[in-house]
Amino acid sequence: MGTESVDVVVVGSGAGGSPVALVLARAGARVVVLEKGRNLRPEEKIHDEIKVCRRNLLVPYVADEPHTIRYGNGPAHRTAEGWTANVVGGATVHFSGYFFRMHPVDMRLRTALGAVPGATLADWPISYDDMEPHYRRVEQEIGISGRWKSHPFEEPRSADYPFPPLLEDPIALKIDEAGRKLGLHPFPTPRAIVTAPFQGRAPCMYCALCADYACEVDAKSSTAVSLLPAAVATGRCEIRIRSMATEIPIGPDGRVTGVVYRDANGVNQFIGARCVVLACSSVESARLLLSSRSSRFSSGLGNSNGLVGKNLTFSGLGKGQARFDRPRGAPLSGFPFVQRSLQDLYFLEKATADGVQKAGTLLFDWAHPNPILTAERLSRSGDNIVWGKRLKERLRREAAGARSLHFEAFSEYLPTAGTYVDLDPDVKDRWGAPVARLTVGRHPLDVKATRLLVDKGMEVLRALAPGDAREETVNGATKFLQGGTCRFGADPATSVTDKNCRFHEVPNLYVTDGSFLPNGGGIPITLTILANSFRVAEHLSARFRGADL
Amino acid sequence: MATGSRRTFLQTVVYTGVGGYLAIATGACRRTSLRNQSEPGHAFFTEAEYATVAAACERILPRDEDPGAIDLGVPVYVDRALAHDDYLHWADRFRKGVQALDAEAQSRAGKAFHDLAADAQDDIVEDWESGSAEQQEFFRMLMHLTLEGAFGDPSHGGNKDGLGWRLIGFAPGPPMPGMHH
Repeated sequence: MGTESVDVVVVGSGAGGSPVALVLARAGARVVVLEKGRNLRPEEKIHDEIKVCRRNLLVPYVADEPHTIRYGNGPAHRTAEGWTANVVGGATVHFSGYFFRMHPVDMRLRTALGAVPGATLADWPISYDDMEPHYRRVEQEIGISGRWKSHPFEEPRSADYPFPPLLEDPIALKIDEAGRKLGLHPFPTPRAIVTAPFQGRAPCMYCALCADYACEVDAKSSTAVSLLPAAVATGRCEIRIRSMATEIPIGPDGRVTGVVYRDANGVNQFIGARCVVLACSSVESARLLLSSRSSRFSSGLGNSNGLVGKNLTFSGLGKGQARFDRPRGAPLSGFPFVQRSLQDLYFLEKATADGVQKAGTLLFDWAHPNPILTAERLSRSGDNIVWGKRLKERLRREAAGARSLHFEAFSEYLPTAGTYVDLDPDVKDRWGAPVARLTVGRHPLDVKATRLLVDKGMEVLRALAPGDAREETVNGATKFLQGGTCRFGADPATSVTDKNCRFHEVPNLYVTDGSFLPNGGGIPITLTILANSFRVAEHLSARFRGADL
Repeated sequence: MATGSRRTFLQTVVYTGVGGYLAIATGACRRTSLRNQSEPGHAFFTEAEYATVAAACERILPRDEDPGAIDLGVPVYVDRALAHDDYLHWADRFRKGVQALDAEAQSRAGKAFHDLAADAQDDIVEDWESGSAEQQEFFRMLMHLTLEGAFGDPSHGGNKDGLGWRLIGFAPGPPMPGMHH
């Protein structure tokens, strides 16, 4: 163990860690970011589906580092679910970049919905107004495209998007027309994709292979091409790659002393810090805390009230699609993006007969063009496998001969006592450490909320393609969108951190990934994680300047 | 998200957004180098195994008015993939499956699988699709590898000249807005 020591160690280089690293380095602090993955090489920023999507380029090897998952009291099995990334920039490298803000009602959802039996909702200790400047800052700093004042359910904004929306396929206008007839208000999907040159980054070139891939022209606003290079350019921030934090030790004064991590050679190292910021995903931050046991914290760091790992949320997911014929051999018609979303069902004035008042967001776009994935999808028909002559005919008719318009419903995934992270009692990773175990016990309202969105999505699709629209999923979940596990709040008895995401029990420990979130919102939450990290970073920066870190 | 037990033995598909995914071969392991049992010319298979694999892949994507699996170089891809560390966990099981496929052909018709007529080959593949656990597993690995070989990036040995992409209407590289219609 060395004696290296810096001002701030940030664990994780994704949406939660990067703003803190940037703001503190700009403020003059010496910052080290520990990242378990490595930098992508330029030749790895390619759309090679085999290499990127199917051979663990961006996520950990499950044989080495599994999670386990169980539903209720069922048996736990090994899974890749719950990992978000394993690369500098975290999941912002391979995200689609759907950058919605949360709405004011999300910060007081417990009050707005009242007591929902079986849900563990809580109001936030801060309001939307506290978040708004930081939302704006993210949009300006990393580059977001969208259109202001484009629908009546839009959250309050103090500034326009810095870039205009992506070009749209003409079918977007048909969605608009169908939406209007149905009393809906489609609007251009805000994206973390720049549509004009920005800080040395090229604008989008419309390949449509955003999800899963790093962008080869850096048009996609991952932290690896925006915030992190700016942090490193200060000369005070180092991104230490292939460095996996394994323990946060605590000193006799009740403050954390730094971080123990496994370096690129598999050797345990220690780096001292005046302040430690966790940002390695809700699941892994909880695992790190629960793995950091001491005489002071026998059940995990900062976990005296037993709430670390609890109130885990994901995003509910529904899907549907409609098929549009195209003549064989014809080039793609129109543009690769459709770029339409709906938030008419984000929050209803009155609950439905099913008891749903908070649903979420519907998002329309062409199906992801990944060719192997497309062929695999078409090789399944219900429980049957299609192969041989039938498969080829199907590929010609459905893949080459048609285009598939999809919608995704991102719905509120209510926090419950039954969905949480703990340490698996049996399964260990390759290095002998207990892995994170996900236990899932969903609230019955979730699927009703998703159903509401899916039904509305299907109405739109049927208006566009009568007879050729079908529902795919109403009870899915996107486990890349993680929240909870270190909920923030004013009361140390019912929350893990205070409103600044500082641990109630540990004065120099913070968490800035999705862990602080009491609820998921019914949108992809990445923008909110970034904004909150900027907010916490400003608080930390003030403490640093006041020599109070 | 495909997490049914019938699929999880091959991979976990983690849904990332609008049909996006990261599929992780759950048995993948990159640390141990593979003992290569192949003969000159192939990375993994013996000549006899290779012929069987080629015939089996061709049943999944047979040649018709469009190229079939062999035309697309799928067997080349499968051979290289199984020599790759990422498929280490599959390698032995797949090879055993190939040998069992030949044994099945021998017991049914006294011929190697690749010497059977297409119809007879289809009969075996169809039986294996819902056969024993080992047979079903082999069938699923065969599907998985054949589709990767037919529609993956040509740099991995399959999808010769991008003809697989043409078959399914995938245009690699960015389209140029305004040039369509």
